[in-house]
Amino acid sequence: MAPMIGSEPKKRLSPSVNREDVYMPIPLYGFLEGDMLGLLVFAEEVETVQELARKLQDAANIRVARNDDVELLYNGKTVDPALTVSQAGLQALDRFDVIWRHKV
Amino acid sequence: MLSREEWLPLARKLDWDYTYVREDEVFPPVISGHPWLPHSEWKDWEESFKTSYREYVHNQYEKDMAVYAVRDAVGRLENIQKLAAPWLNSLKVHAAALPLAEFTGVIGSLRGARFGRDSAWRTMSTFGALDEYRHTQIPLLLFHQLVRWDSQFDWAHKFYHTNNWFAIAARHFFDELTLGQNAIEFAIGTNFVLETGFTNLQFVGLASLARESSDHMFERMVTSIQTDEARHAQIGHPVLEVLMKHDPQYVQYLLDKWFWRSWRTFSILTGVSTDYLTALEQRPYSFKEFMEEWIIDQYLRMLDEFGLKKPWYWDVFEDELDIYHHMIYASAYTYRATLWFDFVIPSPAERKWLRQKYPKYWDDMDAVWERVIERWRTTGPGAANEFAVHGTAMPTFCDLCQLPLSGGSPRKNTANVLAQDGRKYIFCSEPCRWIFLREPERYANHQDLVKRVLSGEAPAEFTNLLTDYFRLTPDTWGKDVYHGAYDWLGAKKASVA
Repeated sequence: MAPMIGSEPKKRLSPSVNREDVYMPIPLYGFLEGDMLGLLVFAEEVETVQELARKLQDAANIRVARNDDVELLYNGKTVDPALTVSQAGLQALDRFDVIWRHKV
Repeated sequence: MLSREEWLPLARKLDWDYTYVREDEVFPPVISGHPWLPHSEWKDWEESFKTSYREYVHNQYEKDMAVYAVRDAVGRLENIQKLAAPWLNSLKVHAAALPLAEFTGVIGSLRGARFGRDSAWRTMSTFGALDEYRHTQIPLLLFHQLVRWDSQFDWAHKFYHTNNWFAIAARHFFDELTLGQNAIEFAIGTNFVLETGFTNLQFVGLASLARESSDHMFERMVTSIQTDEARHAQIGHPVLEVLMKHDPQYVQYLLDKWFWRSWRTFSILTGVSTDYLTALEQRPYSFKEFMEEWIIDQYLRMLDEFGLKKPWYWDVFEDELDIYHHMIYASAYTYRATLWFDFVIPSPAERKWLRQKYPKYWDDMDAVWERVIERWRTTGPGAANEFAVHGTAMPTFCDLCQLPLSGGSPRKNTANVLAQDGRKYIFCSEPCRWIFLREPERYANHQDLVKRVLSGEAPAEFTNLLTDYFRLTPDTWGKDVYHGAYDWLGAKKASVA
């Protein structure tokens, strides 16, 4: 059975890992257009906004079909998909939205 | 000997002036409620039933005998086993949600029986407490015989003692509404808003659904309960009359708060039962039609009667009539293992009916059901495939109502984040945020399920969350009633394990 927490972070905190290589997962509230509820998504500071959008789509896949033509909104504004989560300014327990670029 | 008419007023009005203590020591504001007024302001408190204890006991005995008679005639296990599977799951929902919630009503009513400000109010609250105790015992009695047949009925006792996400939400609601409430807010929140506004009529509607579903035991049970509710709900009106003379703004706040909070719980219990767990040919109306005909008209008339306004969020509420319980049900279907009852996918005929009844958002709902159906087609039916047609990501919950963040619509979820005192909160809707901000000291320290997982209090691993925290087992956690083997689905027949 799959873990309840969507996609797992690439690396976890561990005494044997150099702290500079560690990415602390950031819990975020993700809302996918067309879905029925918000989902908890763990982001990593270094992953791109595009990867985060895909992660939310994967998490909601049971209810909403994957759509590649999407954009991510944070604080109501579209975020450059090439930015990292850190560069986009997303912080723990913030809300982000993934919306369809062309409405169906 | 005094006649009844001469005797009863003497027995019901037993107030006197205190000489050894102050009145505000006998009725402390913190537990009698706001506004604190001297008894002279309450002395005309009156309700229409004017029942004596002897009459009360006689009537309740008659009603209990009627319930027993129906149980003996049509409430045996073999009768229940003949009911349609979706309706049985509506029974499981109510079996869990009802009895111990009613028991919290005993506590709240007893607070009125001691700290209500007039003796007639206290007398009526004493009967109310006995009513609520009866409403705890009847379902526990009737459902107990079913536990050995289907262990999901064990949740009649178990539900409120677990940390199941819906139990967390239900406790958050009832703890505030009944268990921890002062006498005045209990009279307004429970007697006036919940009972007069919602449950009195809900039980009439539920009895109708049960009758259509040939479930005569449940029909008799809720009808019997409803007759009690109709009586003790009357406590709210005269309390509200007094409050309106002294603090109408506070009254408006209490009504707006408790209407929203009651709506949240009510829409899930009754909405899901009406529109999904009752067979299509047995649905006398849609949930929205029931709300419009039975709840909304009456509630607006009551507001008008007292010179009160519609809640400020009325447009939000009206929009939710079209979508909220649908979003909750579809979400819950895809997380059905987190609950103690089973689910069905609406058939093509039911979806056509739902589209007709709920045209505004049904395209978006239908897309989700198509997706779920497609997943069953891909995996094939069968108990072994339940988790292949199930969500895996952690759902999220409102910091006020503790229910999933399913506010708004599929295209525009209304969840909103609040940063306050170094913490972040998220609310499913503007009314939930508004209630939180009016009384943050009441709500701020309660952790929703997500925060419990993040803090390590609740396990993040799915199976552990189900078994260790939600107290479910492979036998009791929710499944698709047919494990995806629907005739209309076009997949090969299930090998039901």
